[in-house]
Amino acid sequence: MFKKLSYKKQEKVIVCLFLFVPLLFLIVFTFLPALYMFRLSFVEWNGFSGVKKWVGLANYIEIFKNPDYFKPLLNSLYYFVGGLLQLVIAFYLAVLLNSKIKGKSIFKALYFFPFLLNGVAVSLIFIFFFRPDGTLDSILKVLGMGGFIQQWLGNSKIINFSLAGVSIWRYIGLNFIVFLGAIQSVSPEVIEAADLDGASEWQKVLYITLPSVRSIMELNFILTISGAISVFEIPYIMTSGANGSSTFVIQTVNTAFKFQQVGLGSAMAMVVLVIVGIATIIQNRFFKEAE
Amino acid sequence: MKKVISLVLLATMSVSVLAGCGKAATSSTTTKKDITLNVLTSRTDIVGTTLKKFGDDYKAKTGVTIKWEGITDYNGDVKVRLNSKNYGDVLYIPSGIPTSDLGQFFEPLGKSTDAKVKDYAFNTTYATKETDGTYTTYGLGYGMSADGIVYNKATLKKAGIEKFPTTLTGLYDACAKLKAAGVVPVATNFKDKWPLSQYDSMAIPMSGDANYNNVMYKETAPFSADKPYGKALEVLYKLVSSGWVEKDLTTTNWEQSKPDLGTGKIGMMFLGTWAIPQMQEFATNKDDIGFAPIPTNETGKLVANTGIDSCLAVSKNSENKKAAQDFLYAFIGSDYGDKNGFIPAKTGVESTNPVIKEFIASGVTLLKATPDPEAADKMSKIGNKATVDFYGGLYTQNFAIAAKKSRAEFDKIVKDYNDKWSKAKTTLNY
Repeated sequence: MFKKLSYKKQEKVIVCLFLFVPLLFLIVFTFLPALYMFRLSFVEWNGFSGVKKWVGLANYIEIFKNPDYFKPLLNSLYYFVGGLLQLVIAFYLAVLLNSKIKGKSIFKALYFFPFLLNGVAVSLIFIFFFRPDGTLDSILKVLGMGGFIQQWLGNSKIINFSLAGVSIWRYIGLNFIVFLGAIQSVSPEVIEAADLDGASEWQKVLYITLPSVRSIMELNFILTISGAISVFEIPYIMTSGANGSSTFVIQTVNTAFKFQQVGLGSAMAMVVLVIVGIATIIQNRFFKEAE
Repeated sequence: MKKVISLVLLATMSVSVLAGCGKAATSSTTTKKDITLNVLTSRTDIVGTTLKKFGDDYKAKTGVTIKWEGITDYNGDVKVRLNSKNYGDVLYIPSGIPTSDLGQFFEPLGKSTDAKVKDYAFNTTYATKETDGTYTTYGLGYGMSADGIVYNKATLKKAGIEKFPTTLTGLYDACAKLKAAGVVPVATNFKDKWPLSQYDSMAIPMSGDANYNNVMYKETAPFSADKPYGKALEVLYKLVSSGWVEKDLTTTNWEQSKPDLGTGKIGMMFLGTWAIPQMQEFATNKDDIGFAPIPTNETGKLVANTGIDSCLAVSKNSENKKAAQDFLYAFIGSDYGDKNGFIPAKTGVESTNPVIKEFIASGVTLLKATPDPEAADKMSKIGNKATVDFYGGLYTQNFAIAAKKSRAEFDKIVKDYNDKWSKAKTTLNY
């Protein structure tokens, strides 16, 4: 029966069959739970009781009325700025490692390595790094900069900077490798032509390299926004969100599971989804027009 | 030929996806000897040692195999599992379940006045009140724990404190002396949150009323300095603002604090009798570990909030309910409680731990609450709405941070939480 179909039709059938399994996973583990959560955001439920009380938009109103719930959103700004800094540093390192220097492979591996580590392990290591008389304090003392020692996590004014720093260290590897790949794909003839025209290194970066990584920059910008809104792992494991380091997603998890208000927690998760969605749309419009 | 191979591969992949579904072979026709009980526990630290040994001994005696399942985030994970039918045969009851929902998840053990049930203290904590005034019990515990201060006798002696203080001023003086001796006077273990639950427990001795939590939900400003919870938080304020706690609260480490207490780096910790064996394990000298009630006023009269530790229950969906019940009684009636620093819950059984015996012999009055499930539900519902997680430690962290900053910050946070509490109370109409 299969042989009787035209080649095009056979192709279609094979493609559909192969797509069936991943689609099944996507629907069962992503879309269905998301739809269920959307429904949960309109009820009041403690997570296990048989009773779910319908409350309409009350959960959403609570999120925007009660500062307890929307204040942690402000902490995302630290991670957003950190993310931008991350892009700049990653680009700089990629440009550096594209030039003629010794030991390229070692440095490439060193910069990429943190990204391969498990996020929980990274968070636990940095707790020891930042604790009083821990690694950072010891290094500063050895360098004679003991006067700069602060309570990196104990001081609520700088705790978010410390955590954003950990985030930069953790995720810079991916940006770096992607930028490096894009830079290396620039045609060598263009570089030669620029050399012949007498362009300086800086001019080459500005007018050749930067435009060639433009589309990656755009993608990373949107990832930075969605990453900053949904920061969870690093602050949750290092400080569980205490001392002013709480983020919106940490608040969501606590609301749903500690305070047993699953409806409110689901509403908060929907808010994250909407924010990221809006950011994506804006970025698409903005960057598409620029082209 | 290639097409056939690829189609077969695809078919195999699809089948393997579905292979996980469907029930495993049901052992409905097992003989008595083939029974395996799944027991969930939060004690991941002893699941492979003490608990395993108990299970092996039980199997030797009765032929029933015990499969322990240690869960790290016990409350979080088990509460989610309650939505399914798979939460073991016997399990510790997780926190935060309203007593009205107990019958939904657990098998009743009988009336609180029934033969085996009435032998255990606190048999009405996890029970529902029937219309005829009797209680149907769902959970029973192996031991009670009294809350108090675990301290290192040698460390205190070195700092010039001969006898453990019996007044609040005496406690503060002791803290100052310890700080002068270069020791952390009181370790809060801020980061792990649950150790801060002591400041909730302290409210009971502060109020002098064992049943304070049964009327607490009626308060409109419970965190003010003249109310029991407020008084306990004032102690926290004094400790943090005087620098009598760890240098950096956000990086404390529970496991590290145990040897630190045992080797003289930390002087005291507000915990419970359950912590005594754990501290003794890490002490340079086991006999250095002492336990005393928290002095809460100037009268010198000592009281200690005593409550049941975790309670076990039988799952409503267990396939071996009778065997599960038998195991439950065997476990709680054994010496597990006594050997692990608990005051035995079974009436007539004395504690054999020397530190606990010393503690009880000191003349301290053990305050035991008469559970009122309805009042407990109200208190916990208002708490959840007001983001106050009693015995959880999350909200207490905010008080500690404010205390570190300034008196004004602390007063502000007291007002904030009072407002949140009264708003939640009004919304719920309690």
